[in-house]
Amino acid sequence: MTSKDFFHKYLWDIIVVGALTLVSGGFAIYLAIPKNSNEHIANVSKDSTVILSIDLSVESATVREVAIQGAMTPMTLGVKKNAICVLESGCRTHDCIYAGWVSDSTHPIVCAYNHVSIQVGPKSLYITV
Amino acid sequence: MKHAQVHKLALMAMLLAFAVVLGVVDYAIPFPFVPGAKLGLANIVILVALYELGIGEASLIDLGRVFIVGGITGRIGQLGFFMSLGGAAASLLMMILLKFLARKMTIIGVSACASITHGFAQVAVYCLFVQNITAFYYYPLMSLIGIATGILIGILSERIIATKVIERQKEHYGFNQPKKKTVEPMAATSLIDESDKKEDESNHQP
Amino acid sequence: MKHLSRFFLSTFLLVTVSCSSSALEWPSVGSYYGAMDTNIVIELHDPANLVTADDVYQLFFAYDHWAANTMPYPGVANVYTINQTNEPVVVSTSLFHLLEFAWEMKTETNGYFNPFIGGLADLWKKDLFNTPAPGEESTGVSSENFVPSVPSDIEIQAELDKMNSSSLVFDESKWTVQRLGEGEIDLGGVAKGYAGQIAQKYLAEKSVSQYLVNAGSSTVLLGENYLSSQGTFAVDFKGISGKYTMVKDTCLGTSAMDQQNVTIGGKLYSHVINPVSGSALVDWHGVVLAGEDAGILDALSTAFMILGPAASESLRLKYGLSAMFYKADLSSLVNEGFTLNDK
Repeated sequence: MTSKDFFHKYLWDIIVVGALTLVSGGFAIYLAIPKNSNEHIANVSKDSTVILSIDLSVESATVREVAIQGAMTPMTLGVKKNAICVLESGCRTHDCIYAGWVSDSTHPIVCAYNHVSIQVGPKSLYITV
Repeated sequence: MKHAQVHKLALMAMLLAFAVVLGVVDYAIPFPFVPGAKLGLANIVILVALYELGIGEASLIDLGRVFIVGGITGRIGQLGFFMSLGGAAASLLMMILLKFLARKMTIIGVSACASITHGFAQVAVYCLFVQNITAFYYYPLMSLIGIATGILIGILSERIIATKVIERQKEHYGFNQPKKKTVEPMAATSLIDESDKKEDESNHQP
Repeated sequence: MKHLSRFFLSTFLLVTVSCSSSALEWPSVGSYYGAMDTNIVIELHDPANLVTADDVYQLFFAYDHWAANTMPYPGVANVYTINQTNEPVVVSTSLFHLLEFAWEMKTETNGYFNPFIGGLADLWKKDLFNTPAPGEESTGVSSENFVPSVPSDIEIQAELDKMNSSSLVFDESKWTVQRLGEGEIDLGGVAKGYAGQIAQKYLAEKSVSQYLVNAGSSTVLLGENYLSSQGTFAVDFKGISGKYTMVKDTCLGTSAMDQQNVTIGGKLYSHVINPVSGSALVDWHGVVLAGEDAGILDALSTAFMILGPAASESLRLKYGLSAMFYKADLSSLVNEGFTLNDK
């Protein structure tokens, strides 16, 4: 098959898939760029409820462990100055652990197995009771 | 006719078995660093079934695959099962729409688009379940990986269809054959009557 | 001259930038801790720098050990120790007063708060949430196979009998507390608030008036808000969406079933057990109280959730509390004393 025939046959595939790739790639690159912000409150949510809010700006450089109970298994979070990560989880794929340390709102950590998500955000104006 | 349907059913059962095996293998292969990303090997069978057998057959195989793989992996009733079901349904719908509405797209393009839709539906089901949209942050990266795996799956499906292995089964056993057009006999008055023609010629001789 | 003016300009900018970056944050420590099975946030502003968040946390840590009923701590006579025997146990003065307080609240609430709720609570927790009893490693049922159920009337009555036949005897001359009967003491419904009250007294003694202590959102101590010109805090509510209130120099106590509840046969059960009937059925989904004494708020919030607005009115007026009762829909909100604003 010549290149002319190739492009003729797959023209619409290239156009549609290429457009989707550009859009997805653009968003992925935008989200991957670290943001310097003063968002330092890590909100740990289980389902739709925030079960824990941690002010990361007052943490020390030494990693501190925080234990939480996920929907299925216990999890251990690691907390240090302006960053949070998942150290241990009972889920199968450990995607939440591979997400590593996060410091801003564009990089949440999600553990689908335990219904837990961790997102760094600005300080809430309200105290919630 | 009945003989053909039995063979068709046997073929569908075999395809379902392939889909289940590929689904279980898929489940066992983790894709690190991107939560929820999978190769989607079972979609090879679904695409082939859709292009060779039809919408109904592909839908049955897809649905059956989701339930059987869910049962084997022990996820029936759990969030992961509903994510698989949602993803499978959405990607099948996208395959059907593109196959019949976007006829200029080949199976590779259809596969890539269905792969993106599969990822979107899975994330949407998860977010609906936990009522938290945080997981959508992973979607752009999942889409890129989905496009790559979708192209790969599409290429494999195209190669399988090109071998005509199912085509030959259909011809041999006589199922899912295109309807033959019956040719109407030409009307008798359109034929030139040779005897009339010779009579005319003789009348016109000087 | 040129270099001097540049130097002063740079210094001025440096000082301005460094000041502005800290203007919107509590200048002292906003620290996060864990104790008493919950998360505790402590934010203080002490110009004299005599008190730190760690000092306040130590109080909660101490009461966490004294009030623990699931395990012993070496060298500490705690609730677990008292639950193992019917002999007088020498305890710390702090635990002595905490137990005295809890026993008084039982009388105050006509039994709708009862420190001997432990056995009944363990029974319901096992059947509703698959939580093992103190001292047990597991219930023997895996989480995948667990189906919530309701304890039988016989089991509930047995625990009620144990509870109602139990009492505490206090000897202040020897600082001993003696448990009579087979009831199990559980101070989970009052310990956090009581510790909060002690923390508040400590801060007052140290002349620290600007503070926020949030213990798991169920006990909240609010002094003045350093960041607000009026010194007030904006407080919103998990169970009441779209509303908030502005408060200062007060304590908040809440009891809610949002995190621990189960529906069985169309009926809603929660971790809040009625000590009089032995039932875990809930009518009200949550209560928010505001008042001066965090310990009283903690004990009463549980009792109020069981009693409801009408039956708890006399206690509310006696202690000068503001109270809000809510269910799943906002139309059933009962508000006694809170000034609510729309977000």
